[in-house]
Amino acid sequence: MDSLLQAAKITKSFGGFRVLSNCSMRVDPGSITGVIGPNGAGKSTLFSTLAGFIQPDEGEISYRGESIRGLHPYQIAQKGMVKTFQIPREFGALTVLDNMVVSYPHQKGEALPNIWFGWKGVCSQEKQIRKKAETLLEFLKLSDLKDEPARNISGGQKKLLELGRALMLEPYLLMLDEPFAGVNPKLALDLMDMIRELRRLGKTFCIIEHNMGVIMTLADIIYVLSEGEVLISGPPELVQKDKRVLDAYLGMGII
Amino acid sequence: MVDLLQHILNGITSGCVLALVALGVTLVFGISRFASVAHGDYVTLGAYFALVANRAGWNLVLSGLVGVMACVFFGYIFFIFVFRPLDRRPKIASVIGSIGVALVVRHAILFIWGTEQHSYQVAIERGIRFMGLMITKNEIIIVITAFILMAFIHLILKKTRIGKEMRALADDQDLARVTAINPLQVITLMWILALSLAGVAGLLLGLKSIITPYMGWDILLSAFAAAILGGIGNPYGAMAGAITIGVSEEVSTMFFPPTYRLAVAFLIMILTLLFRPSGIFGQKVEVK
Amino acid sequence: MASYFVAMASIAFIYCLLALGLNLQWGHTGLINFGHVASFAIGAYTSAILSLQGIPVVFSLLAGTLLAGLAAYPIGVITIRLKEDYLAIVTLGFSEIIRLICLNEMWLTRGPMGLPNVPNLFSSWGPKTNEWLNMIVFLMVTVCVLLLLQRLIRSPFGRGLRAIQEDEYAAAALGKNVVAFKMKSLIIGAAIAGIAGGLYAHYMSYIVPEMFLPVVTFYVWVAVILGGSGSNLGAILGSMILFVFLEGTRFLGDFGFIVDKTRFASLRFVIVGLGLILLVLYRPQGLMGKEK
Repeated sequence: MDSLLQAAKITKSFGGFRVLSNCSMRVDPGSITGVIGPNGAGKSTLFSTLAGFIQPDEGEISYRGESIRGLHPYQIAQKGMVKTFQIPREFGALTVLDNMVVSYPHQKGEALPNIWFGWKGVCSQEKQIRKKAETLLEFLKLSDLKDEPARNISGGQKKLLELGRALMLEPYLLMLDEPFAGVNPKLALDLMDMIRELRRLGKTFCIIEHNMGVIMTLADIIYVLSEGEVLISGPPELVQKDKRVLDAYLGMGII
Repeated sequence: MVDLLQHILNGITSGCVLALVALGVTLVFGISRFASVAHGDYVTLGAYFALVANRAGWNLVLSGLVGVMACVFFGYIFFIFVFRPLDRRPKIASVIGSIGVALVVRHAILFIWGTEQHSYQVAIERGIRFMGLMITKNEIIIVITAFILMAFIHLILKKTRIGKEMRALADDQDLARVTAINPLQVITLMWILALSLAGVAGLLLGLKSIITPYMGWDILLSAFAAAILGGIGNPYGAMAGAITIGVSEEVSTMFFPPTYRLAVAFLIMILTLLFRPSGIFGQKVEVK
Repeated sequence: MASYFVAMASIAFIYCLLALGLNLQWGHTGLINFGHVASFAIGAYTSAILSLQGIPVVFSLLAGTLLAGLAAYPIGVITIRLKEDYLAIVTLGFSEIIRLICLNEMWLTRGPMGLPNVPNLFSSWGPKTNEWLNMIVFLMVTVCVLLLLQRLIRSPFGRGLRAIQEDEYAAAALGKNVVAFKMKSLIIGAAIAGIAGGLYAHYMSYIVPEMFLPVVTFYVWVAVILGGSGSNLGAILGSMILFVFLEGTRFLGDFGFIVDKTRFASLRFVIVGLGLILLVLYRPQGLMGKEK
């Protein structure tokens, strides 16, 4: 099977401090890939590098067969690989619905000529986009909040909104950075169901998580990062028992 | 060849004056993190107060001191009433505030002294010739004064405790604030230094050319170019950048009309921002 | 008396246009453009030069507008990716360079002597210009630009701008080409200033480089902040208030003060500067802006 995302030997240093060493990773279509590791292991940095926010010093990144190294984040997102943030970055002043609607890509109304000469087309597309957004909000159980300014909703709801906005782009690959952090257990179960449902509908997931219970259940394959390197990768059962993984976590004082 | 050397020499002189302004600008940027658009007008303020003292018969040194004290006094008032309150807001607020200050200072000067040109009362000296090059006594004073001040700043930054704190604050604000460094003390000293430098620059600039209400504003752009070239926030960079810009501007007059000197500074600034935005001495900055 | 009012209103509309342009760049997009007067100058000089060559005023105005917009492109390319402070300084430098070019290139702009006899908007209709017609045209242009801008802001493009202002990294992560958004804003704002410049040139019929000093940029900033950055109507309100103040106090110098008139003029600008400081300190959202 051809991989959806393939990262080879990613290396990155910041001012003499090496944060990523020779990281290689492969995400297959339709899979849920987990990325775990102690704090400071470089997980978020890896995601940021893959999504184009950081340029690697060395290494190759290919997505759906083409190299995406050097592309801007917005270009990578437009290709269907969307990353969310560890701490939700909602557009606070916009309503929840507007947060969703604005995320839709390639809107006619964003092109200047259409604004003044093709307004009818813009308005009709706008209706379609709103409908899609409202459908997604229902799926995410956020419908009641659609007219609320996004800054007013709770942390857990903001995380769902993050996911919702990413979904508006109809991505092939969703890179979620700690989607379950700070989420209450009931919501976590809902979120797990949503992710599974989305995977059933054809989406691929790559998820950074600290919540072991969740990620071991959800993921098909797990990569363990420690001090900027990939320690091991494999199915959850294998990874859980691996001595190196336990050492890495114990070494950091964290289980 | 001699012609070129003469221009280089002139450039070093003007670069020295520029260095004092650029230092002030870079200090404010490094520590208070905003571009002080009013800085040129502080220079003008210093020049005019020195003029008042000079007219009253005082010699250059004392007049310069008066100019410096005026700069520090008024500049500090603006710091207390405008920039310190704005410190917690987005930096753009401070920049806009500095525009307001610039307008107030410049037009107050225009109101009090009018638009005519003035000069300090110094004896007209013949230049000194050496190796085929010409330099006036005033220019020698300017260069020596500037170098003394630059050395003084260097000593403060490297050898004193508060100088080290200043560098720490410029390097990493948040980190510095959680240590025992008292930011208010450091910021106050920074302003006093920057304003004093502006005051001296005013005197020297007035000595070198003429005193007009726009004199400081006219070199502000070059000062920013110098600070950016050297790596904004980096005092040594500002000094080196200023000399470079001064020399470049002077040498350019050999090929282009003198009114385009500013364009030279601007071009250097653009090239720096395009190819090495962190400046020659700054650390590499990730450009998104 | 009516003639005076018409003249004042005409200039006021020019200021409104300038404020609308800057408001798009700063209020709606967060670009610190300290070189707005450059776009004004490019529009003015281009239209003046071309119409003096015999080109019909309508086309020369169009050319001025386009050139002003295009000139903003390289500036944007250089600075939009960098920190906001750099945009401020570079745009400031840019406006000074433009002014220096106007001052120096005698063959093009007649340097400090300026360009006299710039044809009026209606010169093809006869030698006597109708001031009322001029003012109405200016009014219509202003209203037109306002409506076009309101449509722009209410469109998905405007919504994208709001998202970018909230969090440009999040917007980029969601596929928005932030640089392109900002660039379009910069260029359109510059083009609007270009229209203002062209209209100004044909109205004054004589332009000199001194009309395009950086201080003009800062007046427009005061107007935009006064009215409330981000509100187009606020921009108009702010520029009206500022203009009334500047024009209204112009006469105080006539009331036999000890100092002469030009020096007294400076006092007004001191007040403008103080006003800006107070605004920034105590009411940064201006008169019509939202709480930031």
